[in-house]
Amino acid sequence: MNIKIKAPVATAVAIGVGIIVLAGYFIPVLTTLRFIFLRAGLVLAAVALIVGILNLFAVHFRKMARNDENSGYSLILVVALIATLLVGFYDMFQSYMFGKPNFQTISWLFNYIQLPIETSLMAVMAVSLTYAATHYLRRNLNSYAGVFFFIVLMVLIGTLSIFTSEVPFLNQIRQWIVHVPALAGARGLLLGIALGTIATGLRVLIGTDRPYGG
Amino acid sequence: MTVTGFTGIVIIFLFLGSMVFFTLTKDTEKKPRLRHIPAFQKIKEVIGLTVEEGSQLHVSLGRGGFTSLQSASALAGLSMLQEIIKSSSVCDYPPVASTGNATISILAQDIIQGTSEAISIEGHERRSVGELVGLTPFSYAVGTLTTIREDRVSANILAGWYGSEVTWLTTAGERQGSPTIAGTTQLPAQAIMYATATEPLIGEELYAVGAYLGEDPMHIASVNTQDVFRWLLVVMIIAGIILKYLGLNEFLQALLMGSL
Amino acid sequence: MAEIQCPNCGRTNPEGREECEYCGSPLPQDVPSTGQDISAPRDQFASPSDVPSDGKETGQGKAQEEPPEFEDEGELGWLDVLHAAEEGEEPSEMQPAAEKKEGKEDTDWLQRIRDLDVEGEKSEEPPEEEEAFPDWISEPKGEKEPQKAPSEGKQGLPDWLQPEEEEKEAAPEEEEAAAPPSPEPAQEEEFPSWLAEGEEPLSEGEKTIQPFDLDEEDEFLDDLFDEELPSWLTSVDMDEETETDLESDISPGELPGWVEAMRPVVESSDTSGLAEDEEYIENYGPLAGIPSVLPAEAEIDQIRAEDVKDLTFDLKVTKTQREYTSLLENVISQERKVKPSPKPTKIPTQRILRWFIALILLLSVGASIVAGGWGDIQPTGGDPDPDGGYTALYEMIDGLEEEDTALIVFDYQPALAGELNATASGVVDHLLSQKSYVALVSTQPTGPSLAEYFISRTQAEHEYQHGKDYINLGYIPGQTAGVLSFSIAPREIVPIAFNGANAWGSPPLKEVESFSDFALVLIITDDPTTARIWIEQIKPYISKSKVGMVVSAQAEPLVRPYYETSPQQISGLVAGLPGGRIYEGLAEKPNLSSGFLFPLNVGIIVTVLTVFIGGLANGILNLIKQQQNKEKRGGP
Repeated sequence: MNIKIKAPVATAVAIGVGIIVLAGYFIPVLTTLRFIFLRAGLVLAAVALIVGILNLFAVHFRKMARNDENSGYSLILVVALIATLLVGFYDMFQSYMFGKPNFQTISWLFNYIQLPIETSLMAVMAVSLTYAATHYLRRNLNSYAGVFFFIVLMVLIGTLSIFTSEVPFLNQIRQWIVHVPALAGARGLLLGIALGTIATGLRVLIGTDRPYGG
Repeated sequence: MTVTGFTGIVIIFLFLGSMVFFTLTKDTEKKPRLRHIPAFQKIKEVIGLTVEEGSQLHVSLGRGGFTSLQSASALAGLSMLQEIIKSSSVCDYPPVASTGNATISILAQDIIQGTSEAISIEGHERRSVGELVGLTPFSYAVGTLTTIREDRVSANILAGWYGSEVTWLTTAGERQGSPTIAGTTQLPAQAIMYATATEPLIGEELYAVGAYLGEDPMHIASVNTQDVFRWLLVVMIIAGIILKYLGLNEFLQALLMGSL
Repeated sequence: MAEIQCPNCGRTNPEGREECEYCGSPLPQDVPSTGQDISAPRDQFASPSDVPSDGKETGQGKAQEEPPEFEDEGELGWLDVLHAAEEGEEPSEMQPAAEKKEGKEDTDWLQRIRDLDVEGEKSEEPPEEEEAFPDWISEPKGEKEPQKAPSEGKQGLPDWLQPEEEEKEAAPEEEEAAAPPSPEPAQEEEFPSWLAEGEEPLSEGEKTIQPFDLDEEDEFLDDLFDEELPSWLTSVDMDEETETDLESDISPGELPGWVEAMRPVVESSDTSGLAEDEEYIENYGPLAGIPSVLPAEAEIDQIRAEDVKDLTFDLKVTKTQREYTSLLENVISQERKVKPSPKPTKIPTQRILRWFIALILLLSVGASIVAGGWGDIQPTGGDPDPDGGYTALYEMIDGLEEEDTALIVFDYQPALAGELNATASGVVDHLLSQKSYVALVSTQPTGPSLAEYFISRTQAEHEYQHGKDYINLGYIPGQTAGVLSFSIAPREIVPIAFNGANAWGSPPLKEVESFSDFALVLIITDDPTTARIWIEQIKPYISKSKVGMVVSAQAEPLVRPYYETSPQQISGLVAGLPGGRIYEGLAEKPNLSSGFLFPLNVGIIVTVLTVFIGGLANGILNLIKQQQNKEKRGGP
């Protein structure tokens, strides 16, 4: 890679910490040191969440200023973010200072705004997936597409509780598909993914992949 | 140390040694022989098309974090972003990157800055943008839809960690008429990508980004090493089945538990 | 009037001056005046007196002391001196070299090279110098005959030069007749040295100038390449002081004196005296004063579009030519315009089908909830499968005692709360019925709110109080790292509860010192990877506790092997709404799963029908389209 090392120190620290955490899994002596690094990592992850929220705010603030067709959504997001943040601070003050029950206002926002929205989106996704399944043969018309289509229908039918008690082989077909070819394929993929994960992790550990510092 | 721990160390060192071996013995004169993966060919095509049209590429890094099993997907996505920034540096519009994870958004910004400096892209307006779009799966998916629907975005590359919500992203690309190349290591999402993406990356193909797009020696060595270990696993699985039929499964179990 | 040319700056000085009036350099007193032997200054520059071997003798002194030798040395190439120095000869010993030379070819370095080549062929060991020759010199080494040929006269010239030579042979006679009687001497001064030398044979009666005669060519090459010495010359063993002298004599950007001497003395670009075919005199650089050289800058750059517009052309063009011209103009004008990127062709989205699917699903599921949603349906397979994990989980929970503390992990997205709240409600209800303490935790930011919602909505009947019966430990950042850290030292990683209270001082966690003190770890998740993270990370720290799992139907195929494997990684498993319904059957207490099973079945039936009919229709449409495309391709 033709990328210059911007901060060799960052690379050295990343490699060193990575090796210690990895070795801590196998060498008991390093467990304490590994725990110290893990705790530091947790703090960094939490800080990253805050930085991420600031980034989210900045991105949508910029989009809002662009005055295009999507800027209205960004405005809603920015307003909602600020409002929720203020409510959260208020609840935190109430809970920590006066021992009021757990974040009641925030819970109200979660129960009556976020949860219904996300659940509705899940319902919309069910529609999207159904549509995608119907549309699949429009995009592909070959033997593989035919098998795919047939398996989708068989697994769906096998999930039913109403008829399968009368026609038990439908459920057995589903069970066989899910637990034999599908699971075998999934296991094979997972093994490949695990090998890829090891390779990626080792490349980071030896410093050839540096997602930090470019 | 348990047998499992010892086995882990041995596997990791063998893996590392194999990667170094393949890197050192690589013939730099010869082009590496890698099997054809249509998705990577398509990525090269869409980068060329973007340069021709003066349009923009959208790289979605998913919502996987950096401190979990999803990190490998996230790293592959960042590798993809890096290669794409390098390849599309002459585009009228720099690629736009979106993510649903705070840590990855920071790393994406870092990658963008570092790569842009390395290939001497002057000016912030010529550099890519890394956006944290949403912090939950659906908010991320819905937020990314607006980017996909932008007129100047001509192709979408999804590389990272997704759930079932990825169906919105792939079908949105289809509706816009922009090709979508998608890869993830989350199996339910992979099934959806297979059915809805223009070109899916199956399984660990996502990890071969550096080898196919960057032709980096260490990445190519990683791919070779994975192939070697894949064959080893095949042999071990078959051997395990035979041993079980021979009635040696209890011995194996005791060995794996480290109680021998 | 005789003039003396300065060896340093090349300018002419009146006879009798001892120093150059331009640069102050001492002038040689006995050198021939300009116009008589113009090569002298060049030779003087390179004379042994200028390049002393010991670095003490100055050239000036030597020139003044031995003027006759100097004249002879004027014929001696300065490169010879360097060679002499290499051979360790003293400058005073250069006389034999001068004596040896009958003609100039002996002193010329190129001729010497050729001589060496000839000798090299005879001797076994070629001279060292030969190896250092540039390719362009050493290349013709094997072709001695063609090299020697030019020096033998025009017979050896290439064919393409012969006619010119013949013309030149004829030309002088004609020119002599037509030429003015006495050319001015000043014109002679404008000739470069190699041309001036070329005049000598002419004066000796030869009728033609042999431009490619080897002697002349060597002189020319000598002059041409003196500025950049070949590498073999740089290896000449000179004293450092000598090198410094040379470098100081030739400062960067300045031409050596002998090159200056070659230059025509024209100080202005006045073109009045130019011939008809000569339009331009170079003003700068080594070519200054030479007419009709190619200008460094293309003049086309100076043409402006406005100037061209003013020009009128009386061109007779045909209609076709005019069309072509306008077409070309269009093409050129289009090049400058920025084209908007073409809008990609959108695939028909079948919006009506999408709306139809949404509507039919909404109506059917809604109607099933309203009409008979709470009707009890037996899950697939009738009796609970003893190997399905339900019974194992049930027995595990049933074995909990009142003072035991269970850890419940809420690691699912709010979007999947519909499925997982229903699936887990029966299990958690059974758990709370045991009057056990409960601690709640999550690795997702929305997890704590989700946990509160679950306890307050689905388990309201148990009236569990925060801090008294259960404790919400909140969010653990860092995913895998967070889970691992929490497993190693839960008290240090989460010191306070969701509401800021001291978590570990409350009744639910009072007896918990380490992770293994949790009697049960129940993980509720929609993601197989999250399930895997918990299984892998807590495994070394759960010596006394048991692990149960409630997962979505989507995650079941990937989580089930952890239960079915031997040894088991999890002790009990409930997956999806049917699994929840089975568990509720075991507990003999219908809950949300039992109520949701009928609408789920209705939804699945509608989905199957829609996918089948829609997919079939789309497949037929695709087939028709393919046929049409085939016909189009096969048609005229």
